Amino acid sequence: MILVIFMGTLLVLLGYFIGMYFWGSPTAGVIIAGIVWVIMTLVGYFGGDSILLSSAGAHEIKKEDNPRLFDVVEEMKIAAGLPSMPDVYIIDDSALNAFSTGRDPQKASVAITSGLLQKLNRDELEGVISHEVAHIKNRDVLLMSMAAVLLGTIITLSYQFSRIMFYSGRSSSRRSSSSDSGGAGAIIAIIGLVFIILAPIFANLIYFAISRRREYLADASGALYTRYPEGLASALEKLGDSTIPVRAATQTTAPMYIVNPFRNAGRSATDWTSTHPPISERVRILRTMGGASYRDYEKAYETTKQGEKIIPDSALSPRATVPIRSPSAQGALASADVFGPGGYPDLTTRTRDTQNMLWDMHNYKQVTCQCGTLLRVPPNYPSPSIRCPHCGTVNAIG
Amino acid sequence: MNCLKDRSSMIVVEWQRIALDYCPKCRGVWFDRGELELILERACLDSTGLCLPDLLHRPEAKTAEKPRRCPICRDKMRKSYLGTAPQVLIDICRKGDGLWFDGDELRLLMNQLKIKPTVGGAAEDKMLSFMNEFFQADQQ
Repeated sequence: MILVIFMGTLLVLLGYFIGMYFWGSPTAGVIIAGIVWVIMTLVGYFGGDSILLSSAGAHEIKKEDNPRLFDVVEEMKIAAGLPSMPDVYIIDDSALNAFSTGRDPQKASVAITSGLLQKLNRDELEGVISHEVAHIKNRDVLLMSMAAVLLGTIITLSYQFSRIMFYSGRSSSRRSSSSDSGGAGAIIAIIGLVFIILAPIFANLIYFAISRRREYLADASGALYTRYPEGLASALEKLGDSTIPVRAATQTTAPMYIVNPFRNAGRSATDWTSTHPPISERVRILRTMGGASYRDYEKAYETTKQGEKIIPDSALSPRATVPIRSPSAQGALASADVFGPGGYPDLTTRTRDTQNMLWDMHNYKQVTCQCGTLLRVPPNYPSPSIRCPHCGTVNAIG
Repeated sequence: MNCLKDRSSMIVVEWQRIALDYCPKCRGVWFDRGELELILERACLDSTGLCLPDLLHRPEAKTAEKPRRCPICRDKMRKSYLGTAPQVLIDICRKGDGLWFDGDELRLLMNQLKIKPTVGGAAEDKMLSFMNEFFQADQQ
């Protein structure tokens, strides 16, 4: 990836200038930059997924906890050609978001908030999961974490050395200017100084550009796996309309989510300092697609973005057309004109399934009152019986 | 979840496929965002008048009642009036995590509805009738 090479070059240059500025030896600087980068990579690689998942508040679930979600993940695993089934996690949060993690397609995880799981119908859920699985398949997690480490190294080096410069300012510049040959040396020193200060800014911009590009590619792959770009488009619209911020998201984990978790918190959500492209644009591209192949995505992208290209040529070579399938029976919104069990809108079923699963995960005990009301009692509830607020019967807790 | 008023353990009560958090001690009720969406969808379906489902952004009521903290995000909640006649004073999370009904307010509501059952079709009033039926046994 060209952009990652740019960032790597930035790091090398940074090392070069730091070395030159502080010790008169650019080579030493590059070596030191390399060492710091290796250390941070190792920490990132081995620390990895579990830190990320627990900081997001994700709990792993098994197939019996939520067969609906598991089925979708399994279908997408097959469609994408993943070597093994990713672990599935639930985040107890009414915000709408999802992310995937895993440096290796064989040991990957997909996480989704309870809010999103409730909100989406079958086709939309498939769209979101296919996008996350695409990130796994395209090894985006590995790419983004390498880029993040590069970025982190650049920022760390730049920050530490500019602090040293600030505090020991004049003495070191006198040292280096006395060993340099006058004018030319001073100019290089100034360029180096400016570079050290600006490097993190450029690295950040490159990082955001990489992130956005991978998002488009994941959208394209997702459309191919599902054969139904409208599913993801519709899901993204729901995500865009929602104003709930994801509670556990931080600046570091933001690129992992399917949409920018800070889009409503005032931070730049749609411009070149954002980790994600604007939702409306992503939706427009997906809805312009005439088929479900990468060529169709590329065509839609070029139409929307006035001639810019996105899909790498290797993916554009297969010439087979991929027709879009029709929406699934569960995809269409259930009609909601009957007010009774079985006639409820599909949203109720999904909400009940998801919330009840969460209470079960927290070991709530279930008591069914004779009037039909269900009572759920937290573990360690202080009383052995509970009075039903609907009919007044006192029920013993089993 | 612990009760916002007296910190005692709350339970979950599911009736007609809506699950609410309930405090058996003070009879207060927490209406979570997701459940709110369900009940409003139903209330709007058979309401005759204009359906304004956005309960979470209402004008603030000026009362002397002590502000409560949201059980999800822990921030102080706003107070507002719900319904036309009868009315209840509720606490609303500023982030939209949900609504809180004090046990006393609900009892007041039930007494008022006993005297004068709602005939109006507004979604809010439907919601209050639903609450009334839900917690029927708490009318004493």
